[in-house]
Amino acid sequence: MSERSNTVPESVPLHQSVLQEFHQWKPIDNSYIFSETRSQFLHILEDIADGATPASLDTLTEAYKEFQRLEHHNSQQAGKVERAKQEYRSLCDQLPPVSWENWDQYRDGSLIAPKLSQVYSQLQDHPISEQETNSDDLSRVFKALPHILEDPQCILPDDAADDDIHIEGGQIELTCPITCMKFEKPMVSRKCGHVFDYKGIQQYLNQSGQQPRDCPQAACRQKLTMRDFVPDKLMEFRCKIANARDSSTKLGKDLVTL
Amino acid sequence: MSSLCLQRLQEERKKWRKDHPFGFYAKPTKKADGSMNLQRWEAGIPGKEGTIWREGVYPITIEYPDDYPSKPPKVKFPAGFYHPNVYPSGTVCLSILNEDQDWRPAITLKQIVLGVQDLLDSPNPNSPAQEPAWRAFSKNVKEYERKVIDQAKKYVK
Repeated sequence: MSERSNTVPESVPLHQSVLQEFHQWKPIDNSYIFSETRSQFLHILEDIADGATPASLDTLTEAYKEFQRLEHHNSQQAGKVERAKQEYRSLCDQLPPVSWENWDQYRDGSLIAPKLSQVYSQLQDHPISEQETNSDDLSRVFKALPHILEDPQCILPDDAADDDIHIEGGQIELTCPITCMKFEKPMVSRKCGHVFDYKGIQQYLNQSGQQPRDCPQAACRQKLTMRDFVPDKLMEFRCKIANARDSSTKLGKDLVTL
Repeated sequence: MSSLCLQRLQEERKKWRKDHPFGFYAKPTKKADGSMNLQRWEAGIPGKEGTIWREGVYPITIEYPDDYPSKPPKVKFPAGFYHPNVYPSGTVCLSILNEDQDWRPAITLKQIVLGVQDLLDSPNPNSPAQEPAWRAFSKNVKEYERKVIDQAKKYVK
């Protein structure tokens, strides 16, 4: 301990009356920025699917990866602040509140109160874990886009090996097996990967109330409820691209007949 | 009839007209007023080549319930049809046509008629639906084959 630190304690535990206030400290919530940006990405992808924007996919894919990295970093950082607060609090709780009786002990260092800045910077030394796989909906679409822009019904190279489920004659069907119509709101089963239109699967599953029912796909043994289904962004994009093509070839034909 | 049922049946009809297996036919029946009854179809199942069923094209009716495709259609041969897995009423006993067994909404008309065709020459001895054909099939193959060939002549192609 230096001479100077002997006149007043270097630190004292947080006083009970400011604990409440301390608890309300939060890092600025900027999650809305991320969700905004995410939806911007989605819009750009939709434009590309519609054939509107000339696709400079590589740059965009890189940008999205960077975005994911930042988002991940941000959430890790927020977690660290939270952990620092908790740790600081529990260290303070283990110490007697500062008083005239123990003032000297705090001053000469026989009682040492934690410093928030130290607790936090110790946590900062832990490296931020890199995200293993960036497999959210959008990143799957990014990965698939070069292929499905070529052929919206193609089987993706990665899926071909272990995922023979919606393959028929080497193509992904863009119609719902229940309604037999083009997908409007494709939903994918997280258990078996089978895709159905919302309208069809909802009607089928509602008939059994809350009871799980066999997957509508022939010979699939999964028991499913509506909770097993999530929107299938990739299928949405396949359909979007196919529709954009259909209408542009139709336009072409119309022009010819004119 | 639910809109899903009607919509699906219209698509089934389109699909069938675009592409169906060789030798089969299937069409919706007509109502009394001449309009199309999509919930009741007539179809023909050809016996497979190289089997005792080959001479015939066997007529069936397919009735779709209001809650199709959640529930399976009912497939019937003419009453008294000679087959171990066909009830005296003509109703076909087949697992893919049974809601509690293997029926799934994704099963198409094409899969149904192909399933029925398969059943003709590969009866399931574990689910007998009529006495005469089942008894002959398991006890007296000669008689069974003769009866089947006789029946084929009735429905000759």
